[in-house]
Amino acid sequence: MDSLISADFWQLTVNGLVRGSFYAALGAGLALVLGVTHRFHFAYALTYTFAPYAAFLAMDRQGIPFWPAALVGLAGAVVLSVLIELLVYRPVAARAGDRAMLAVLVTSIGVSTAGIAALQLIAGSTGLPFYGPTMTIHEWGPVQLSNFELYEVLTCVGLVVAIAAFLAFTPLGRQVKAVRSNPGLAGLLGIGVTRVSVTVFAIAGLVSGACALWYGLLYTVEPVMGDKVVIYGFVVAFLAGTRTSPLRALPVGLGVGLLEQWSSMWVSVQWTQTAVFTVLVVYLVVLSGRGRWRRSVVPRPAPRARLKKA
Amino acid sequence: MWINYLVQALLLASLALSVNLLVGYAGQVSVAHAAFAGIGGYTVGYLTTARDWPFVATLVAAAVIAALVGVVIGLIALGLAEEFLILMTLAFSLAVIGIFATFDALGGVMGITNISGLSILGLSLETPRDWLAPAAVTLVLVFAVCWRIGESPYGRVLKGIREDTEATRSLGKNTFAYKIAIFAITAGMAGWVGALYSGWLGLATPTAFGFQLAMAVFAMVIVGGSANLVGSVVAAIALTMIEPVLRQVVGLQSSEAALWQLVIYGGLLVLMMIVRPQGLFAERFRHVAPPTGERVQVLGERTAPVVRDLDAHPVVLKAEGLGKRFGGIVAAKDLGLELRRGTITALVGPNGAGKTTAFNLLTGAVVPDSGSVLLDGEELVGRRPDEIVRAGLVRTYQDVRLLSRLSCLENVMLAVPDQHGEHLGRLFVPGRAVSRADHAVAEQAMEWLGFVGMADHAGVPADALSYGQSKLVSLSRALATRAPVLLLDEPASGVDSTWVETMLTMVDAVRAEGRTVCLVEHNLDVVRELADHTYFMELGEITASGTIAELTSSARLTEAYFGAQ
Repeated sequence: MDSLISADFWQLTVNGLVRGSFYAALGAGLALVLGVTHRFHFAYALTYTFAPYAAFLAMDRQGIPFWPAALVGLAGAVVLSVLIELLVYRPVAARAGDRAMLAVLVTSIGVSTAGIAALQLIAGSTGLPFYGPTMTIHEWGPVQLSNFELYEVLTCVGLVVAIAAFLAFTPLGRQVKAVRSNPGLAGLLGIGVTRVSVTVFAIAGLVSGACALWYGLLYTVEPVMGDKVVIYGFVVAFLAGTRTSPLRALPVGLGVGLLEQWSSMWVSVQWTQTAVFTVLVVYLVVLSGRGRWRRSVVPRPAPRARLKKA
Repeated sequence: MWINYLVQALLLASLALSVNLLVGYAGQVSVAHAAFAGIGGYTVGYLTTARDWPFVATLVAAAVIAALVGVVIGLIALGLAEEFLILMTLAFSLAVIGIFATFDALGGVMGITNISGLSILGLSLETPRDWLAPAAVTLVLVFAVCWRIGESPYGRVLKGIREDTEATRSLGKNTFAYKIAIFAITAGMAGWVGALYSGWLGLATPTAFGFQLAMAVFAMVIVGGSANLVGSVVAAIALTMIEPVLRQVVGLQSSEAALWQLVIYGGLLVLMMIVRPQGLFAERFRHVAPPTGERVQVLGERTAPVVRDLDAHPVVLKAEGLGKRFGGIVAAKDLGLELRRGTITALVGPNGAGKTTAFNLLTGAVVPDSGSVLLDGEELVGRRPDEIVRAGLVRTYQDVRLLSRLSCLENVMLAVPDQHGEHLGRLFVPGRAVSRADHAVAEQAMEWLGFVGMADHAGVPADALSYGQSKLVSLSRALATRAPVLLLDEPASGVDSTWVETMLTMVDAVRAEGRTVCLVEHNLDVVRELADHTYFMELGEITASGTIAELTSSARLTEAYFGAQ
């Protein structure tokens, strides 16, 4: 009995790490969007869902093999993400002025729901048979791990590290950081703010697409697959901080993944999601009590320039 | 079929109204309304199928439970910045649905699908036509409640919270109580509507109350117009009818029409947000009749500055030993000052000396680590900012902080204390007491606008004012609180010389009214003209005091202020 529990424990731990790296990558992508553009990018769920759908349609309707089709899906998610920023968020935020956050959130939910409905009109409302390479299961002692899970972890951790390296070591990455810390000043210094936001949305699209393709191979591709994922992404993004290194998403994402899996030892599986939200609520209650985050997260608009008489 | 869609439209319109009250009027960005409706729906589903409760009782239970959850959400929301509030309500929406799907008693992931045989007061609800009356009555009731709250002094405070919570608080409004109440009320209404919705559908399922419902209702609020209730109803009915039109006119299948409807909703939302973000029906402004008769000229010519004998004026406000550290930075150290009735005291010092922090400490915006502030012998430290205003100490802001989408008159009306219509209970007492009282408030506010010479601009939205004008309105707003002590943060900065002269006259007139003024000002000419007494601050400490002539004659202080010369 004892060994059974411990066997479960190790399997759950591995599952938690697999899930956690997935959440970490999604969170890092969202945190970048939130930190740099202040857009509540709910349509992350759409770019996430779009990638496997596009890949499926490429395979199913055009007869393209899996890997090129996956690339099509990935590229589709990137392009869609950038288009949403350029054609929807940007004009909406410009019109909304100081209420941009609400306006963008609402339109984002609208775009996401409408986009997913459109996908259903094209590909049907049921789950898709999304198959690619063959899955093999490896066993290490009590623990089972599929090659897909392994690749997913590598992809996700690789993406987070790549984003961090991009921000730290490339000129464009440094421009992204500059806009993140002070968009107004960065604009004055000649940094193209549009180029920066296109870059972060492209990265977000890439991350969501890559994660969704692996998820699709592991589980199912269905219209509602993005709903829960995007919220977990937000949770990780906020817990890790939206204006810090993406590497911080790794421990937070892994923590959320482990919490979710471990909690299934004590409560029924359906309650694991609730365990994660309980942690989030506790965090928010603490935050609410301190109530000092308003300025540290979204800087107040600068006071009107004062024209002092000499 | 059309009657069924009409019922749906009426119910969604009710939901849209409650969302508009929370999001459009109070500016609380919550996406949890579908979840609150879900709480209502599941309450009805469970209580009618498993517990055999009468339908009416379950409706009440649904509203009460949803309202209680709303209180909890409101409590957490109090100290949260906008994006954390959104995060919380998003997570809450998903969690609620997740929790429902967990319980076998609630049907698991399939939900409760056997709600039937309902009746209200003996009238059975079988056919779609039977549901028409309860849905219509609900819409009328919800509209009445939202209208009464939104278009009243209470609603004015909500709009103030939407525009600038801190500024509204510093006019003496208990914004905490308002926020919690509005979360509870709108959640309760959503619970009631959700309960009816489930009863009508015959089911309560996780998908019925998911993000699609949240989005549909948002689309109705946005297309109809934020903070416009009629717009929400019109948009709800128009948007709900898209699906039957697609089915009947275009000949689409039901499931396909539902998907097309979502696509159209999303498209409309984006289009509306870009083309006409205020919605089809814009927010209503209070109609203001232009001032009648000749202009009241309160102000005479300003006399030459008189230095008052301070001892003849009793101390109104006395601060002692105020200290505040932010981490390693000492923002205020052993701060002490006295304000005397009917005098003007100036606080001068170099940038970063802590003058605005001193105001923040006095008004409770920042809680001091140590020290005491006595106003007429009454301790202010430890009280909320809005209580301090009501106790008689009000401030203005350096960056003015008018509530930009409210008219000048509404800005000033908001500041009037003890308004009859700010009490929820009284809003629903029949009679015209609330509107009579509000007319009186408008008259008072008009007088204060007249006092600063801005009565002509009463109906103008605050964001259309020039900087100088907005400073005047902000002064009249502070005066309207009737607080005897005013802290004015740089009243004459950032305006040209004509305006400086106007401000001087105003502040002088405020003193002539018998009020006590403390001002932070960089323009030493202003201080010289006005101040009876001056404190000099450096690095969070008051290092000298006296008349401005005494201070400027000190070589050390001049150097500290202007730098080495």
